Amino acid sequence: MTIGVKLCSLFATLVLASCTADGSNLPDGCDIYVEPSVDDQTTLAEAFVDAEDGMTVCLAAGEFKPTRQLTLDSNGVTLKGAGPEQTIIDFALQETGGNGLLVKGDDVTLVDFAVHNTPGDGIRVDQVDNILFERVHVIWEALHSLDNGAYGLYPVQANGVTIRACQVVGARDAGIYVGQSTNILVEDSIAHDNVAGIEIENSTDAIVRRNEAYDNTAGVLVFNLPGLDVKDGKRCNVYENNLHDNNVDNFADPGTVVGIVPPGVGMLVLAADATEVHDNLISNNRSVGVAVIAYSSESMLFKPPTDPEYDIYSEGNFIHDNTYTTNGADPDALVLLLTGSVNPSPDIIFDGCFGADKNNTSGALSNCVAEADTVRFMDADLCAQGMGISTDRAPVTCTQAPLPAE
Amino acid sequence: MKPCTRYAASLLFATGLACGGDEGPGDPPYEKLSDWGFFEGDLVDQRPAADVIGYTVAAPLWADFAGKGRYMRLPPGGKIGYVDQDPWSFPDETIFIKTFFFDTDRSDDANTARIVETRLLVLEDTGWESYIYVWDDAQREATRVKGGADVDIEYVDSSGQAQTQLYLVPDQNTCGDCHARDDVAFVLGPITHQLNVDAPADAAMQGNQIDLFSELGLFEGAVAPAATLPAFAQPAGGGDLDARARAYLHGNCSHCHRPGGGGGPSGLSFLAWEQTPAKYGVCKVPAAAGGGAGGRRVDIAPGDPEGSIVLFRMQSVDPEIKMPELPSLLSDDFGVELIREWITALPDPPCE
Repeated sequence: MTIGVKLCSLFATLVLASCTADGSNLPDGCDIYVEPSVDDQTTLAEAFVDAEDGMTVCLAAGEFKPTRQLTLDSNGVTLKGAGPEQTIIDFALQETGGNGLLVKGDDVTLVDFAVHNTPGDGIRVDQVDNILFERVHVIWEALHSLDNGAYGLYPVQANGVTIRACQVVGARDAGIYVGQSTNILVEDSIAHDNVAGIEIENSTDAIVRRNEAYDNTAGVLVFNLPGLDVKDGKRCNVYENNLHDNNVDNFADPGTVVGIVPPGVGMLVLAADATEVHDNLISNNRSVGVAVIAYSSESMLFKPPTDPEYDIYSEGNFIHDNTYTTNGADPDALVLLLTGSVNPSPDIIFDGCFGADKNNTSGALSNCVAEADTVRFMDADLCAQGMGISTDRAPVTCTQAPLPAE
Repeated sequence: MKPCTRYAASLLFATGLACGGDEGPGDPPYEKLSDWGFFEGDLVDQRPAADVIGYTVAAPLWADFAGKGRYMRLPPGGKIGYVDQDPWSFPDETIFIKTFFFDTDRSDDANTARIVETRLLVLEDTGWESYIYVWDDAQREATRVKGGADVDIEYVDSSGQAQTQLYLVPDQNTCGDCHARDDVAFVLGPITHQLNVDAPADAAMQGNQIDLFSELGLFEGAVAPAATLPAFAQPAGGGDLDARARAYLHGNCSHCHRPGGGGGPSGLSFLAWEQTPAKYGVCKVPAAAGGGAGGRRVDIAPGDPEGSIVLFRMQSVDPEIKMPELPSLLSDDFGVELIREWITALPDPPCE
């Protein structure tokens, strides 16, 4: 074993690279500075261990090649690169760990770097207060590969998530995924060539705005799934996004919920409540522009959930003032099955399922549409609670109170 | 420009030590394992000092064939706060010491162990802090590392062939990936169920460990006889299959898969005392398994081990798929067979 020798050379490298005894090489604004070296795994892991609360860890321009998951667990740390095309952490050689970076500290800022080619997820942020991603890219260079990781930006059970000017390419599940979280802002970001571009799951009070999602299987998903700690996601305001050309064949693992999403979907609301979808450009999605469905076994897509607290219905969602262009031109077989083989398929599809035993006299549980007359709509009556498939807009012509835009 | 930080200073200090500088031990955490004074005589013999207690657990975590020596040091007069279910509470300055070693000749029964690392959990005023020491080739001393190390283990396999195995000493932040829940670190092994077994054969005192701890007065207040307290079945023992499997899953999975743990958001809990089958995976649809689902639909499909995500992930060595995620690189063949047998035997109304 040559640990001792290895450590010596490595420490020497790091000291030279980071900071001389009088600190003359430490860039302004950095408490720790790391440059690429012959042993990026150790230099990065050391820097993350040494990062105390409130410190700024700077990564030089260049390519880092760690071999393991890297964990950041102090609070208030800023991890800053020289730019998402300048500072690249490439995990192609990763041997262990389900994520590239794992962030567990509160109030962490990740800015100006890229994570490439993780075998598993890109950047997971677990159970924190306040996480900011800004100009962070997560990229799998092999497009649509079954070897790509599932999630790119992956905050879970977080309160206060901001994802700004980020980019995710190639995720085998959702590129930008926010799960079981509250107070979320996803803006000015790009997601392409993922299965789902952006997914907000079991989350409450989210804004998804001014993003571009293209060449995914589906552009934006707002989901509520059973069996999770945090339930009853609601109030996701999706506006001013450009959701186009989301026609990539689904390359997710067939065992996953997202694996059943048919290609060609602009936006899908599944069992989520009070979603507002407005002022988006929704174009060239070959199956449907916007769909709102229940987690219902009637559709044959889902098994009856075993979670007694789970509500399968999508309620109080409001779709209005979007611009639709050539959606549904070549619907996937699954969509044809739902729509009675209408081809081209509509801009908007509701499955028409609702909780018959609920009191909706106020109309708050109704899913509403307020779109131009030219927008094509269908209630697929999947749960056979209506009069069969209908394209009549009158029953869904209503409004819900707008969500906060900021 | 800012003045140089403590970071650089500590690096220079570490360089000096790692390169053979001969400073005094300074303050904890020491740079050398021997400075802690846990062991008497040659460090390699791991002979516990008078205030250090060796112990074992019923259902250990698989660690790529590493054997483990486990020790505990309580501060003078310090007592353990006992509860039936975890976690026990420990006095400040309690230290847990775990040494990882490999049998370098597996073709015979002779003791040819090589120690690779020793990990400490020290209860400081900030909570449990981890320190990791990597042993030298000469097996005389171990030196603290923060950033982990890759170690090639050379050994002779059971057929007499020379082999090499990569073993990963974790970096210090990785400790929390298993030991922390809701931002608070815990010890994992020292709970009633795990310690309610006989002391290791080479320990100074023999008998049930909980009873021995009682005799030694290590607990705050009286603790009932061990025979009346909850205990894990030893997974490799001869007990009830369900009890052995649940103990194995607790020892290998529940550090993450429990409320507040890293795998908590999945909704899956492998705590051995979890009574609801859906919560420990029976017919449970995965939340965000990605490629980890392997095309299988539920975590545990009764009667159908090959249709169970849990078994698929236990057998994988792909970092995206394998479970547990950290820190092992190899699958535990024993555990795979145990869980296969258990799933096969589960009563099997098909999952809906």
